Amino acid sequence: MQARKMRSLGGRGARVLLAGGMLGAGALSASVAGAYASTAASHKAAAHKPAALKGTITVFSQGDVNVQNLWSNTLIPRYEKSHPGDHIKFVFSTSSSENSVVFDELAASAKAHKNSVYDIVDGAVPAEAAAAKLLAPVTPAEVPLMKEINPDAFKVVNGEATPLRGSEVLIAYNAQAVPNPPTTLNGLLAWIKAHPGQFTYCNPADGGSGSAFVQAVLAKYTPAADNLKMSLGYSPKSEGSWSAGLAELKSLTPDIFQQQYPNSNQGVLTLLASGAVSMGAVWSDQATTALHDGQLPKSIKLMELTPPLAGGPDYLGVPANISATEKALAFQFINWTLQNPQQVGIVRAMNGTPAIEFQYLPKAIAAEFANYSSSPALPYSANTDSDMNSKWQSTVG
Amino acid sequence: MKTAIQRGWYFLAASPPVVLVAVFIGFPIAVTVIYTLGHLGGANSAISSIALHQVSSNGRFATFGAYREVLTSHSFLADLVATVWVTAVSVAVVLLLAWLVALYGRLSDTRLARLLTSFAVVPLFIPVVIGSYAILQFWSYGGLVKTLAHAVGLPGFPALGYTLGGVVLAEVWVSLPFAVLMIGSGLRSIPDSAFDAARDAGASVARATWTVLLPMNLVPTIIASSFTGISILGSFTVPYLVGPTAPNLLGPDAAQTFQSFNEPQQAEVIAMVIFALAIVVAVPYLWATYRSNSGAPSAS
Repeated sequence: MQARKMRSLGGRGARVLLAGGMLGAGALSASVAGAYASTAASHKAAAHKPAALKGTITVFSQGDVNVQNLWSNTLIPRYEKSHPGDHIKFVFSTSSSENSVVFDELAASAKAHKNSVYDIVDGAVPAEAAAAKLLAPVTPAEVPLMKEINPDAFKVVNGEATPLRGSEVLIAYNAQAVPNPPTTLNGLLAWIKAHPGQFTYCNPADGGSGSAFVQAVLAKYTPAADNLKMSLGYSPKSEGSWSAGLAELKSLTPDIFQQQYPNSNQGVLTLLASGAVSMGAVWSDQATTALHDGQLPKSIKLMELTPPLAGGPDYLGVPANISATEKALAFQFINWTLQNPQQVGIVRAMNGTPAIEFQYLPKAIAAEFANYSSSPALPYSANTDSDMNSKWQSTVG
Repeated sequence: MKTAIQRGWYFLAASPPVVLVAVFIGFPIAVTVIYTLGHLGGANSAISSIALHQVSSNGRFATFGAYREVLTSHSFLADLVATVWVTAVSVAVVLLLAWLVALYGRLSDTRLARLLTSFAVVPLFIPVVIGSYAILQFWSYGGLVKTLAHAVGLPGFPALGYTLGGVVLAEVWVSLPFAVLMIGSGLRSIPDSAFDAARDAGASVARATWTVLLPMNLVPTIIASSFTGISILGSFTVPYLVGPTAPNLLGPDAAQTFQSFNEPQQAEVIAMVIFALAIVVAVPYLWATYRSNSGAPSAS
């Protein structure tokens, strides 16, 4: 989810999701037990496969307290319980500036031909590290359950990282102010111009929800093949076709609330909650949690645009430069996170989407995602994204 | 005269901090400078393996390509102008307010005056990030000021949140305590007799302040303005939280260039520009300290 963009500057995004994370985790065991009972038998074998390897691995993650709770209260205790003898050393930071420290460690240790101290990295690091070719490729032999994940999700990261969970960017609207919201991107753009000051999206450098909106407008004027190239890798030549989209975004500025772009994903939710704006681009998991917690009024509804905005899977990556044993342990853990009970647990704890495709989930869970696209647009790759932020800042911001 | 042995001891006593500065500050600065000049290898090889849009010297002594790119970019120039503007206005306002508070504390020896001078120092004890966020909330759209203005029939009242005006306001809040302390203590060290003599000779309070107190308190004033100016030039938290999307100050600009645009070389060029501006602001400070250390007559 937003981890992808949370690297852009620390506490700025500081989302208050404590309550959501904890409530989710509390309700976890009951719902998982129920869901698990109805799970297809095919998963049973994988779930009960005895752990072949024993040892300790070091995991780094970065995010808000909800992410920390997911690891500390759910994933790690359950894994250590079901895999006696296996231990996870967990390194966590709420400050996104720590991401560059970890990333530098990966780059520097690889350069020096030394082993990295981390065995798994979570959050914003994997996408960047995959772009720099610092991670070990994911193969079906190591992660058998990768077959349940949309293959496109691997293409974005050169097949070097595995999705753990997902979320996508939706349009939130105030149903009292906007009874009939536009459902297409073009409809939305026309609506924004017809209703000055009623819409906002955050600075793409500061939040992934803003990136997804910007990317969607740029993609309108970019050949599909070029868009794909920019998602699957780095293709500076394809960026030439962005100028029309950037011009359209610039023409929206006078109609954006206060002509100022909020500097975090949370900033958009705050404006929606106070009634200052009637529509905005938001992360599905973050907005759902805010609705559950009452931070957003019930009049706020979420909907998906046609074509859908980009989704942002949260990836786990295994550094290429670690010992073979640690690598095997790390992939064993990653495969375990893709099993049904863990995926359901993650959905509950984070209000996000699962990494595996809906068809592999219990029917009751899959039904909750009826409104979600099974194939949100692919987000731009890390380097493309950096260039997009830069161009947006110099032309639109 | 000091003996050679004494001088040796002095040097030894001073060397740990000197070595510390050389290793942990001097070396990274040197590495940064050669990176901005296009040297991508050596200590810069790790960062240059991941950065975008780098300019390489390709074995030549240096290239100014990265400087040319940054210094000709419109958004950078807008940020540069904003930085100089915010710094100049903030320093002027801080000096004015600090002088007024310090003067009141100096001339009126009442409990109220003492209370006011201590009150002016309060922001020193409030973390900058908390203060900035509070100012943003207070002055933003939907904040108390805008709401009150709306209630009394002024719907057009400006919301200072996310504007450079808001940044000036917050910078003044952050910088005022130090300036009040500096200028206040300078004023207190001026003997009563100097001021009283001017008053006895028939000068008004304003004239006595202008011709006696101001020149005698010049050095602390210059020190306060240099320190305030340098800290605002390089400030990050205040403009990051309170400032607009664009143009904003160079501090957030450099951070954004580094993190969000993945262009560390360009970010370090921006840092060099901030450094150069800070040197310009530091010149009066160096002059003032030299003057006061050499015991020039008007220094307090």
